[in-house]
Amino acid sequence: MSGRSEDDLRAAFAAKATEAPAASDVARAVNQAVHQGRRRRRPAWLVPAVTAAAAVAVGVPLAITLTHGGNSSKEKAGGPVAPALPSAGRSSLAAAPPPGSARSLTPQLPAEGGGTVQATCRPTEVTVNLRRAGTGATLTVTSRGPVCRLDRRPAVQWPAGGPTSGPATSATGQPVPKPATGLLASGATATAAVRSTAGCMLTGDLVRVDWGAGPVEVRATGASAGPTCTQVGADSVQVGEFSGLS
Amino acid sequence: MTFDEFAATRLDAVLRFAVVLTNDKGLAEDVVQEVLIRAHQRWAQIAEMEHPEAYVRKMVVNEFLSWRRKWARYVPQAEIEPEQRQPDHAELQAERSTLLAEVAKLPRRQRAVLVLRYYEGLSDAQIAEVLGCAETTVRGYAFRGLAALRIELAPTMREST
Repeated sequence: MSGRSEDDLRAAFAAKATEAPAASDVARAVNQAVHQGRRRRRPAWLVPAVTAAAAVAVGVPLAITLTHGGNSSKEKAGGPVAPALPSAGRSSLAAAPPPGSARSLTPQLPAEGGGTVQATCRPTEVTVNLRRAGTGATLTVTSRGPVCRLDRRPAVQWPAGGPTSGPATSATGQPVPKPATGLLASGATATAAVRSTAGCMLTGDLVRVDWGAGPVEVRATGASAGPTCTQVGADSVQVGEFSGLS
Repeated sequence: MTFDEFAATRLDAVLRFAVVLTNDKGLAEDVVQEVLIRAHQRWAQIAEMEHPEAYVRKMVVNEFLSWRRKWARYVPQAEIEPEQRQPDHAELQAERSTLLAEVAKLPRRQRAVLVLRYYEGLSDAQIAEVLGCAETTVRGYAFRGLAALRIELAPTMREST
């Protein structure tokens, strides 16, 4: 029992180092992220969107304040006009959200109905992980940017290049209506379960995931267990809805 | 050295270091990706340093140490992959796996010190520079880490050391 030495530790570390992933895979992922990052650094709509949001955040409370400037203190504290506004906007201009708040920086795009809608989460704005669990996996998407939009049920192609399961096609390959989308708050994580309907372990580390922003390749992590699937069809993979969306 | 040259020549070594440090292939990949993306953004400054690789390695250590805070759900677990074991060296592999699993249970700074010392071969002074602490602190981490590893397998050793 007392035979362990520092050399044993060196040997164990050296053995562990041989399990390192391929540098080419990591380099490719980094290059992809870096180049996508360059494109998104100054999206054309961001400056006008932030300006508009800031104008609304400052202008609306200011207009309310000016319009009802002659009202009594009773109204300012929550009278007839106040209930329609968020509490931060009731009393004065000083109560408007700070310029750096998520509210004022949320990227919004024009919607068909004339309102605004959050943009679909870009791959560079989120961290995606697929962790094996039993014969399936848990897919997590964590926002690293502003509030953005995800399809409630993502499409999953496991392995990448195989048949797709999820909203893109049905089990028979026929197109199905696009599912509803949900909002992923800044810094929040959405989780969806991916499982094998055959009860066998899905093979292949590279998995393609699409939440509405186009396919993104993700490497499945975690230990694999159980018998492997010999045949994978479009109905072999079942994907649950994202939880954690609003 | 350009970023591409660095990635082509040194990324293998950085990944091996990250795997030993995290004891998790997937987490190592994630950590290195995050670090390289950030390093790319300020590569002009990093390239001017005397040892860019040492700086990147420091970034990997810091990313690993902060990983729990940022991504609590991805805290690595000691993973022993059965397929990695070779039947003809089963005993040796089992002992190494046990040792690595115990290393993975150590507090992260203790793990980082042991990996930097016994895998990277850094001196205590160099480890102190990487971790941003005093050499005596490094020696304390190493002492406690080594003691913990010995205690778990050989309780009587603690009394003799």
